[in-house]
Amino acid sequence: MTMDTRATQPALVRVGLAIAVVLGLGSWTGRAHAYGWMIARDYTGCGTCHADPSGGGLLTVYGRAQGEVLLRTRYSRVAADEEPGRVKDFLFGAFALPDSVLLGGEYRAGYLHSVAAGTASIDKFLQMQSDLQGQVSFGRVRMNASIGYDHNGAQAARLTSADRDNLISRVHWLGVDLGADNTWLVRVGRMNVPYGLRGIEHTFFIRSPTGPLFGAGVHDDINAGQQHGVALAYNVDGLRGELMLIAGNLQLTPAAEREQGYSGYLEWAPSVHVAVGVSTLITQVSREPLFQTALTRQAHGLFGRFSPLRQLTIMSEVDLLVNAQPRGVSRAYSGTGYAALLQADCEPVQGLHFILSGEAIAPPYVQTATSYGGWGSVAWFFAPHTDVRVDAILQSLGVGSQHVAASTLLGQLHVYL
Amino acid sequence: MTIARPFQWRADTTKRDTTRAAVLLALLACAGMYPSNARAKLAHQGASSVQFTALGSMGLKMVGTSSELAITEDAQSISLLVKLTQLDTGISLRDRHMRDKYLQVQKFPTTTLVVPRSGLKLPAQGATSQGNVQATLQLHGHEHPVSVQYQVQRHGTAFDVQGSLRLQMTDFDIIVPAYMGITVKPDVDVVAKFVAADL
Repeated sequence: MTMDTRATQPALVRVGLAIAVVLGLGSWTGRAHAYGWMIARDYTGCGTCHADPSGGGLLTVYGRAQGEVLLRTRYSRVAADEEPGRVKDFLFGAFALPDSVLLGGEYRAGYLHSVAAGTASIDKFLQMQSDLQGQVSFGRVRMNASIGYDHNGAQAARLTSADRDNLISRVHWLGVDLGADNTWLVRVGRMNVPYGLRGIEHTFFIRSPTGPLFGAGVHDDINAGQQHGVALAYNVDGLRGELMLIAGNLQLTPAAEREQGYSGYLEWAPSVHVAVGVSTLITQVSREPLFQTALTRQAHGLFGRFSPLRQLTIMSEVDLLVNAQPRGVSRAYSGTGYAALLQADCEPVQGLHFILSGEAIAPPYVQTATSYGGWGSVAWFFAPHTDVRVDAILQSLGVGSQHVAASTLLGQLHVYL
Repeated sequence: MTIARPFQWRADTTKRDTTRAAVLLALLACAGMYPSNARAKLAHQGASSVQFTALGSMGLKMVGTSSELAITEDAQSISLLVKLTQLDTGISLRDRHMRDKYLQVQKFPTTTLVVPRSGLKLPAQGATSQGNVQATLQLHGHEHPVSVQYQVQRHGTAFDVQGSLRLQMTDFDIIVPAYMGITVKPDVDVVAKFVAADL
């Protein structure tokens, strides 16, 4: 989906476009790995396993080890306490890297079948993610970047300017670790927006970046929702947070469509199996790309993770959404709404996840009905660096004051190098 | 005296109450060390728990638990013993590293907390007592004094017991654990909670 449509289109046509996006015309693209359910394994924080202190993407050496030890299915009792070995390393251990260098890669592909009431079904192969990622450290200084190929759907991260088949860079930043135990990390560059739960399901209503329901969510997805700016992250036992001053997505043109503002979260973990947090975001844009109007967006929310059993994790996020247009223009895209997600992840056998998700969003626009969705998913991390996943999604999408039923079946294969 | 709910203590019933109570307090003082024992035996059940907490870089937190506690006593002290082979952090590989590389349980299979009777206070019926007692911890073939905080509530024949201590791995010549770039801090907190009943 491109970023330059709509200004003159009637509202219902735009709603139709949104539904089309929901059904796969571009929004089902890349994802990195970011698994909040690792709290079931006593990991409340993200920085132990990811170069990004708030999680997602490039793995640390420790994270790679946990990918073998905790993430994937182990097929014998003896294997449970085996060392992860070289297979955990970049390219399955083909060669050794210096301690100061992290390298990684992600490939994700899928097949989508989706149907919305009154429309033809869609069946398509999806190239979702083909990225290389790396980080070089010089003492406390880190340089981190990704580069990849995208067929269609991550235009907000593109480096080249074709309509399709672009080079993209989702993240690139320079960081400095501060504090005795590298408790603080200050970064400048393009980064994931720090807000709420971070996860791979980037089309959830709470995140809905550019497509579903006209981007009514927070825009904090890790597909192409990154922003340029300056961020300060904090990580200690039981407390983590990050605040980012957003300068805008500098890979987006024209400059008038770039958002400026801030986003941040703070999460407190009173135990290794419980974490609760607050998030806040305010941005302003001169010309919102979808609505073609100046817009101030606010999102403020609560989120939590809870693992009552080693095999079960409950995660939830609820956000208040507020849009405001300037005085003197149409207020069609102003209003107050909310987005909510409740997700239960059951892992009866290590590496095999059964996931149920329920979601709702009342977009912060005038006269738009609340949308609802339910996901049933199975993910199996069945081999080193490799997983498969199937999502069955039923949605009732608000279109004006009406609802449109939509269903999606998505299968995908993910390999990280 | 027998400790029940969650521990069952099979003991010499000819002992005086004060002696038995002192043994009980030592249990809580031990805060994390579990027995298998001699004159007294504890069986874990109910809401009892003993756990250690260690922190690492990048916000890492690991919690280990054990469920076996043994107690012995003499005229001057009460000793609590934990089998280190039973410590469980929930990750098999981490447990193996802990047992084999750091605690070296083949050579040092147990840890013992020796609490002097003179440092313990027992509560009256319906009351709570708490305090600090200087004890001696034997771990990894070394002995080192530790400060133990304890609290005991007495309800009828039952004692709600909680105790805690902080130890420094380096005091016991234990290598500070480090794995794949993550280093564990040398100070470790140990907490024990259980209910004991004077039968």
